[in-house]
Amino acid sequence: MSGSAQDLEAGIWLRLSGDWEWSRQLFERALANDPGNSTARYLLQSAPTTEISASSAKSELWSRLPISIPRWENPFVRRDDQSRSARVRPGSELDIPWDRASMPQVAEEVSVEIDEVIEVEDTPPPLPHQAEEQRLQELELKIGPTSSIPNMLLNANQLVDLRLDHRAGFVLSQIDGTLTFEDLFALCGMSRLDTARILAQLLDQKVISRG
Amino acid sequence: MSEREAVIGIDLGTTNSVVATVQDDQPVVIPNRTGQNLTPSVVAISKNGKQLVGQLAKRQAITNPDGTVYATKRLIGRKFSSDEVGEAIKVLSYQVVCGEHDDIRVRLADKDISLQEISAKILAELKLDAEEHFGRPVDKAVVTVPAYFTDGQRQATKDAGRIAGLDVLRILNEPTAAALAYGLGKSINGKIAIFDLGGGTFDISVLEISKGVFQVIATGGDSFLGGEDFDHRILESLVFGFAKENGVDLRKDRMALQRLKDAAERAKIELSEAKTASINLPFICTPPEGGTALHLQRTLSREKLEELTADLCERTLSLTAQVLKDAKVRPADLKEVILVGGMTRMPRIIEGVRKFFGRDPSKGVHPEEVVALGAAVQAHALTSNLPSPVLLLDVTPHSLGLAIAGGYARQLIAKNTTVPTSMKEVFTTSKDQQTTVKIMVLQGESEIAHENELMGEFLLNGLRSAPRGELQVEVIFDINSEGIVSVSASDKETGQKQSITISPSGGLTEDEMEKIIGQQDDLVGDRTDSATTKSATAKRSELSGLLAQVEELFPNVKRIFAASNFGGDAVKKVEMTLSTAKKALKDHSLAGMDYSIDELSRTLQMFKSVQQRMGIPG
Repeated sequence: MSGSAQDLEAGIWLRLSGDWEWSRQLFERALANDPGNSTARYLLQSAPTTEISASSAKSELWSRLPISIPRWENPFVRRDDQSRSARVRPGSELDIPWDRASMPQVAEEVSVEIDEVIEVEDTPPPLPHQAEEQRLQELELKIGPTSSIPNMLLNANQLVDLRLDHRAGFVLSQIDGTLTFEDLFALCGMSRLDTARILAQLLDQKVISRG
Repeated sequence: MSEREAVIGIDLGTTNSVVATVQDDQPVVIPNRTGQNLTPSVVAISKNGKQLVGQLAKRQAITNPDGTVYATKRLIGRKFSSDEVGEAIKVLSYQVVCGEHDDIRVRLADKDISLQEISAKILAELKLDAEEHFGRPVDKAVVTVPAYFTDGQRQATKDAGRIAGLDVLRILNEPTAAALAYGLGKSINGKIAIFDLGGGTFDISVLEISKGVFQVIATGGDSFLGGEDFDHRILESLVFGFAKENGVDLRKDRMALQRLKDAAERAKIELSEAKTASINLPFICTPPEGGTALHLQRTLSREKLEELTADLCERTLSLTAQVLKDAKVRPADLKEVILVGGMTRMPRIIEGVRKFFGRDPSKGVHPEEVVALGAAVQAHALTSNLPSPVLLLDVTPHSLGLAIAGGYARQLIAKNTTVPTSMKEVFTTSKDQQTTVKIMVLQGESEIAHENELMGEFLLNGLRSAPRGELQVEVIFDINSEGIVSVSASDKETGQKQSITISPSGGLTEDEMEKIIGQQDDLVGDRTDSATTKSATAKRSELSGLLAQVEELFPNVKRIFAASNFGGDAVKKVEMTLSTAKKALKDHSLAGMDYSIDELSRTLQMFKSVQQRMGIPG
C-alpha cells in the first residue's frame, strides 16, 4: 500500500473513532503526497463544522458496520502513551513529519472539540440492556441481511464431529434451505440475542453459509 | 376478451389448509408463497412478538405452546359450555376462555381472540397466496366444512371468510367436494363412500349421487383421530428408545420434543413410499450432568410403524363399519370409494380400505388436495355463465325439531332436506289445566332433547284451561333459501300465535363482526381488494423511498469503504440488499417487501451513522 493510501485509511479509522483532528491531518498528508487523490480531497472538504458527540458513537458505529473489525493499533501514537486522554495533539512530538504551517487555524479549533469529547467520554458505561442491544447489532451485522436464506455446509456425518450444544443443534435442525435468518429468529423460541449468537457461531465455524 | 374473475376453493382443514382454482378448465392447487401446496392451519404470536401463520407457526408450536393456536376447527361455532368443547380443550396447549355469549375465545398475547378471527388469519394467508398467483385481488371463494357441521359452525366459517375479506359463495361439504374433484356427478348414479383420514380427524361419509344431485346420507368418524396420532406413536417409540440407551427423557426438553415431532412426521410420510426411514437428530440434548451433546440416530421400518399404529388403523375401519351399519348401506352397495387426507397414503390404510370395501379405492387425485380441488370446481361453476353439469342443493345439515314431554325430541324436518322447505305438525298439551306451552327448537339427530343443540325457545301463553290432550297447538317450521329458520306456534282454538326467527349464528353478533372487520388491518393484513391494494401500495412506496435514499448515499459511503481494507464485505452486502429489494418490488412480493424494508432501514441507519461520523453533510 502506498503512503498516501495508508494515510487515507488510517485517517478514516481515526475519524470513525472520533479523532477528527488527527484524521484531518492524515487526509491532508495523503493529499500532499498524492494531489490527485480525490477521496482524500472529498473527505477534507467534508470537514466537521459542528460539535460531534463521539463518546459512544464509536462502538455504536462499529456495531453497525457489517464487518469484523480488526484490532487496530494506532501506529501514530507512542507505545507508552496510548490512552485516549493522553492522545497527541497537533504540534506535539510525533513519529512522523508534520507540516505545521498547513493548518494552524484548524488545529486550534479542533483541539477545543477534542477536550469536549474527552469530557463526554467520562460518562458511565452503557446499561446492560444497551450492551445487549449493542451486542445484538454486532451479531446481526456479522450475520448479514436477515432476509437471506442460510444453507448447511456440512452433511449429517460431518456435523456429529463438531462440538455444539443442543440449542445450536435445534437451530441447525431448522435450517432447510427455505427459511430466512429472520424466520429462524421467529421460530427458534430463544431470545433474538441467543439465536443471533448461535447463528454467528455457526457461520464462524463454517457450518452454515449465508444464502 | 376480458379476464375471467379469479375465484378459489379452500379446504380449511384441522391441521392443513389448501387453496385451489380452475385454470384452463382444470382444477389446480395454488402453492403458497414458500412453494408448498399445504399450509398448516396454525397461527402463532412468536416469543419475539411476531405473528406467524402456516409452516413457521407450526415449526415453533412446541417451543411456544401457549402462543400457538391450532386445530380451531374442532371448536369453531360451538358453545363453550358444550361437552365437545370440554373434551377438546383438555388436550390443547393454548388457553381457551368463554366469550360473552358462551362462545369460544383464545387468549393469545394477553388478548382474547374469537376463533373466527383465528380462522380468518389462515384464510387471509391463502387469499394472499392466491392473489400472488393471479397477480390481482381475489375475493370470492367456496370454503369446505365437514358434513356434520351444524348451522352455527357453518356460519362461523362463513364469518371467518368475511373477516378475511372473502365473499364466501358457498359452504360446501368436504365429501361432496371430494366427489366433485373426481367428476363423479357426471359419471355415477348411486352411493359412494368418502374415507377421509386427515392430520387431526377421521370422517367417513356416504353420498348418494342421483342425476348430478349430491346428498350426504351418512357421516361419522372421530374428530380426535388423525395423522398426528400416528406421529405421536413414532415419537413415543423414539423417546423410550433414547431413554433406555441414554437415561434421558427427551419429553422434558421442548426443543428436543419439537425436533422429534417434526422427524416423526417426516419418517411417517417417507414410509408411505419406502420400506425404511432414517431419523438423524444430532445434538438432540445436552445431558443433565453436562458434557457433550447427545445424538439420536435410528432407522424406522414400515413394519415397525404398522405395529405401532395397528390399533389406530383398526379404529378407522370399525368406525366405517358403524357408519355404514347405521345408514343401512353394505360395502357392496357402493360404486366408488374415495380416499381423502394425507394419511390415506399409508399402505396399511389403503390395504385395510381395500379389504373392507372389497374394491380398490380411487387414487387418481392427491388425497391432500382433493377437497380443495372440488371446492375450486364448485367455485368455478358458481361464477360461470355456463350451465353447471352438477346441481348442488343446499340442504339442512341436521334434523330440526322441538322438545316434547318426557325430555324427548320430535323431528319435524329431517337432515339433508333441500331448502327452502316448510313443515307443520299439531301437538296437544301434556298436563291438565296447562295454559302455557314452551317451544324449544332443537337441531340434531338424538331422540333425547338435551343431546341436541338448542337453537332458540319461546312461550305461547293464554291457552284455555282444559284437560291434557284437549287443546291443539299447531307448530310450523319454515326454512328459507338463506337457511333462516322461522318457527311459529298457534292455538288452533283461538288463533293466538307466537313465533321466533333464528338466523344461523357462529357465535359473534353483527356488531362484533363489524368491530372485528374494522380492526383487521392490523390483525389479518389485507382484508379487501382496496385494503390489499392499499397495503401493497404503502409497502411499495415505503420500500421505493428507502431504496432511493440508500442508493443516494451509497456512492459516498462506498468511496469511504473503498479507501479502507474493511469495506469490501460491507459493499457486497449492501449491493445484495439493494438487489433483493429491487427483486421484491419487481415480483410484487409482499413478504419480500417486508424483509427489504427491514434490511434497507438498517442499511440506511448505518449509512447515516458513517456519514455523520465522517462529517459528510447529509
